[in-house]
Amino acid sequence: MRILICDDDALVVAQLQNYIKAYFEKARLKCPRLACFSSGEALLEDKGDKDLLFLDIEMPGINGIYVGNELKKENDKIIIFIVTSYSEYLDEAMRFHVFRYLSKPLDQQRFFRNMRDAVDLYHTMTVKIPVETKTGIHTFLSSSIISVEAQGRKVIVHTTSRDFESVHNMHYWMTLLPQNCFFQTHRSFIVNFEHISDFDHSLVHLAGNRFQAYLTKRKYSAFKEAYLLYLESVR
Amino acid sequence: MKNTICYFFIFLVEAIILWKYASHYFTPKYKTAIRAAVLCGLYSVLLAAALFESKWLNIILYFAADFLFLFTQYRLSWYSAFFHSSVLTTIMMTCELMMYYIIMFFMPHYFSKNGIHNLTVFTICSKLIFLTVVSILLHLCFLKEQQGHGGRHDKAVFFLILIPITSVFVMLTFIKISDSCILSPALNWMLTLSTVFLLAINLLVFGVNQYNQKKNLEFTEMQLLLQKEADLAQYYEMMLLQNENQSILIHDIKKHLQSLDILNRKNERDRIDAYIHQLMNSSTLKEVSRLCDNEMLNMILSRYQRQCIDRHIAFHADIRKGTMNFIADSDITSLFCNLLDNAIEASGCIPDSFIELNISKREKTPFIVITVINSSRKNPFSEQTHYLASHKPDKSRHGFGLKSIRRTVSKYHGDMQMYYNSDSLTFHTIITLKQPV
Repeated sequence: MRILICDDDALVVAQLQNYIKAYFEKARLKCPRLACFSSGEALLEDKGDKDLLFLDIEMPGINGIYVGNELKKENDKIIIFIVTSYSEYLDEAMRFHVFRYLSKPLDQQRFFRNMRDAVDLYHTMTVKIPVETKTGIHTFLSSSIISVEAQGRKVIVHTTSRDFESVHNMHYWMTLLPQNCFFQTHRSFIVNFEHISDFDHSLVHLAGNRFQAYLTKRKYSAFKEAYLLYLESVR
Repeated sequence: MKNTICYFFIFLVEAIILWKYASHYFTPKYKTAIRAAVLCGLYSVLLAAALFESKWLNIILYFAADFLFLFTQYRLSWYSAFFHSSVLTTIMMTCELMMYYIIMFFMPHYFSKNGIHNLTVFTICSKLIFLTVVSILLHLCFLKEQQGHGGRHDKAVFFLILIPITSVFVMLTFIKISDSCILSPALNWMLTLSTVFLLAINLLVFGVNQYNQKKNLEFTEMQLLLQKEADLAQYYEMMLLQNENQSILIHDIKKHLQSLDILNRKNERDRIDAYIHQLMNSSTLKEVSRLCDNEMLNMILSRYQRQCIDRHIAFHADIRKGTMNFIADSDITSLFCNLLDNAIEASGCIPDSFIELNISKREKTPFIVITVINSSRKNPFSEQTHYLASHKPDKSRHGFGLKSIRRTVSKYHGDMQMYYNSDSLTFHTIITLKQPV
């Protein structure tokens, strides 16, 4: 994980660095690499990984909105915090998805809460899952898996790129996949919450209605509860 | 055999009338084919039971079949289903009885012949009256029951149900009297008029019930309107207060500068620093900022933001653009006022307490996700009942806020979940609303 800070105010940069270090110390986690930039131009020139970014809006030269937009185009998984002292409503001006808005001066308690959400989201997005087929093993990010479906004796893993016939059974998949992102809606279906387009009492529609999964009546309430918790965790 | 065919047509007409009544009045839970199959199944049982020729059994089963059909196939509460099935049973019976007495008046020996033709004519006439009365009822009814709310009935409807049930008993008594002796023309007329009155009373019950529902609806809307107006008034009062405070600050700025000048001459840097910070953190210097792009929600949030400042609760609202535009102002008011009232109640008197409100749209889905996280020292779920316990002083209004939230969530085909996190001492509310495509 690499965390970037882009702000022309050196005091804010120092404060953010301190808070980030304090957060990881408190959470008893190794502090990831930190990289600081004082302008949007410098940040755009950076060629390293960009996982989590604290971005100021008002900077000399190109502004934060343009920088954020460019970075999202390069990597849509980047988690962007907007750090601003601007008190007006900002979201109207944004053309990219902002994870959280943080206002200056920073509130440490809120910063820690938001950091925890961001780190959890980062881990959710970066879990890798091996799919073993008769021809070999393919590894995917868990977010690439749309659903796992039992078709007779076959177990098909639907991913965003293509389908794979797994050598493992549904029980194996249920234990392997992260519980907070996947749910077994029926004995023949495990769905990824991330790809749910809609659902009703009997069906879950996935990936813009490309796939459908049965939803057992007795699991409907548990499914709804789990899905709402997931939505809260990735909000 | 002829009797069975006759009964078949009787129940067919009654099933059609029930179908027409239910389809007009309630929102179905299932597809037409499933409902039709259930109705056929229930009325087949009625047909089989009719062969025993027991009036009591027929009436009880007719009522039970109507109740089961309405309750299982449509979105309404069990007491609503009970009310409507009792009304239908009474209307059906009064129509039959009325026809019976009219025929008896003109042809006293009509039913003693026991012929299939007589039964057919009687059935056609009585069912025609039944169909006409129900059609008039449907035409005159004020409002359709609300989707997914189980109707607007409360349990007080049981008092009204007593009238149709008593009427059924009275009618069965009439039948027993008619069966056991030959009625004189005058008595026949009196009984005919009595059944007409019974029908009128039952229609009146139906009308009163409709009227009550309409008034309840108007009352709720009025309450929402008043709440909205109260919000507006408070918002403008807040604006005035803010303007006044800012005017005072501008008026006092010269004095502040003089004080700073004195401190500067004395070279007291720490005190200057503290003075400047005190001024900067003054709430009068903070602008009345726009928190979202929805005017009504903005007013509500501004009001709660002010309340939070007064109670030393950190308030953070992250409302994403275009997320609230499909929700009516009255629903925004009832949803967010109740959510934030509860959050403020729970977060009060806790050091470093906070309320975080997030509203965002889940990409590529119709879902709008609303989350409220607030500090709460205690688990608000009662250990015994697992329901939320209120600490508001007015116990008579306990539970209305949550009911109002649920009503709004249900109106927008959403879902809601609440839970308490004992590690972070926070209470979480997650709501999804479905945005129409």
